[in-house]
Amino acid sequence: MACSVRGASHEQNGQPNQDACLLDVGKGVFSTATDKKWYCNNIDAESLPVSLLLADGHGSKRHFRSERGSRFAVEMGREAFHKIYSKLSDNDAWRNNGLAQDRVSEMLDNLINSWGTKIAEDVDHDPFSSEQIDLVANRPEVAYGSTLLGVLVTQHWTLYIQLGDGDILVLDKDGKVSQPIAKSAELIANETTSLCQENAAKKVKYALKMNSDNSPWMLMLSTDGYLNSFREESSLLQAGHDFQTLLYTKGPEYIDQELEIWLTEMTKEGSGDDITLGLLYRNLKASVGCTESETLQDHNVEVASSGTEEPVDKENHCRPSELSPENGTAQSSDLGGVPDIPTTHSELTQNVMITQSDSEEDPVHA
Amino acid sequence: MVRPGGELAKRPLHFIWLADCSGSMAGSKIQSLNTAIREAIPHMRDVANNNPNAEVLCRAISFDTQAVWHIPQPTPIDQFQWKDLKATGVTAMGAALKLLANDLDVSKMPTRALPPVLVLLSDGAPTDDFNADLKALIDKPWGKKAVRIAIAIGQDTDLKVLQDFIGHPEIKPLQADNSAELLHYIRWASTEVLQAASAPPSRTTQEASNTMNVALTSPPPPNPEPQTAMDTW
Repeated sequence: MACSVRGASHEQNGQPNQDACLLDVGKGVFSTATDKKWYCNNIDAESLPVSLLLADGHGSKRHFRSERGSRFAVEMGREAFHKIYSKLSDNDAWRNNGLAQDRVSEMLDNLINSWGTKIAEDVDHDPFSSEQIDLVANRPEVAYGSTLLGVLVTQHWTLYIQLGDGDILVLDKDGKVSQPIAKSAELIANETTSLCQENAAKKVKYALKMNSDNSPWMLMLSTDGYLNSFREESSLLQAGHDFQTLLYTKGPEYIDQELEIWLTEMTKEGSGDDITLGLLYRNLKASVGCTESETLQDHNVEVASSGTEEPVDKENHCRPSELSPENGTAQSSDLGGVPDIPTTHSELTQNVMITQSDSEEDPVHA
Repeated sequence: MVRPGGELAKRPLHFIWLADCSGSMAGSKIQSLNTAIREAIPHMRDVANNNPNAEVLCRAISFDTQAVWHIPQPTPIDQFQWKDLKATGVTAMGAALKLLANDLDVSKMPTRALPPVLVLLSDGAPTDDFNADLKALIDKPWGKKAVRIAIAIGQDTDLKVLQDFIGHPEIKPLQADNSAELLHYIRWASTEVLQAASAPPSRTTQEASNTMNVALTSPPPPNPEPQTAMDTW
């Protein structure tokens, strides 16, 4: 699921929501419009892969079409993910570290190029004024400047990409939170790396990690308006943990109901910025072995009904590890209603994990 | 149901005065400086009220023979009160920047903070190692990304030093030659600059290295004529 809200400060000054979001679950693609709140219901993915992409347009005077730039970014990101999925799925190419890295680098080059092509088409269709031309100084992509972060979950591996600010959290089955892509210390005071910069492909950080029975269990992506609304940075990791707890105790329907309210409160009381947050998570019912007709309660999983005002008794909270079948029993490890896939990794001969965490960034200028 | 995560908060915006209170500031200059900053406070509060997502936190460093935190605690603007400065001694401007750099270290600044605003006011030239201390400030990420404004008080100010502090050739030091102009420029720095820093859009790291971190409106023009010769510094 995902939700994007326009920033409180943008409501005040008449700017549109410059964030964009795209959730591709195979049977449908859901994406944000540029100037209205968008909200996507809890979706069961029919099959892997699934992908979630977020982008944040810059919004300064020079980036006068960044709400289009962010939308193009998530659209081109989705196309790039489709291509790399087919390339890395063939012949188990993902098992080869060097080859996987080449494929990802190639994907990023193509993503930036296709984003640029989209921009050229847009400028052809809607040319700049002379004043706008002066602002961008022969680099039309500046007008569309945006960040991009995304995750592609497949049967065997998960690919994370990030250019600019925003956050990606991974939670395992036991609720342990990690961030697969390190944050850059230079991205403070509203500065960010961007799709519109020269050599943008080299600035993208990425990680390609093997899946396991335990991870990823839940993924949470957010634009920087989310983290910037909390007093403490540690609240981001706490939020990831809280969302996972809510999935198990109150169910995704409850989060569906509340997410827009929460994000609206956060932009008003916190950062004032556009806020977009997306979640991908494993289907809890499948993970505990529910058949289609069974409920979680049939498997002794207490879940509070949506809309309850009373907090759930902590003793009724269930950790996934407490509900898992015993070792050796096959269970679905997919994201929601997906046919069984191999759950053990003994047949895997190589643990593939590639990262580009120290991407090329602009040097610090005195 | 409690929202996931912790307490919400506005983004902090640190506004720091760096005020020369050396001996040459004695008399009408220091008096005008004290008055101008005090009179700017209500207008800063108005700006803060119009930017509800920024928490403006104000403090000040004074420098004469040494540099000290004149008002050391980052104070919410609705509680900020100016304490009058007295003038004496020489001009340890470098020491002021070094003191500031310590507090702008990443370990002391929240990553979610807005770009700080630093306003340097001086009527002379530094009498210590300004260049090394300026480098120490700019070498800090928060020092580099701060909005740095400088106001020269009187004709004897070393403008090159102030320009070096600003660090962006498109932004010039403001020249205040009388009390009315000083009031005028302090008002601009504490309102227009504060407004721009309160709601800055994202910028690429490339842009920020080439130009000021925040897009500023033009400063007001100087007063055309002083009222009397005694008014001119």
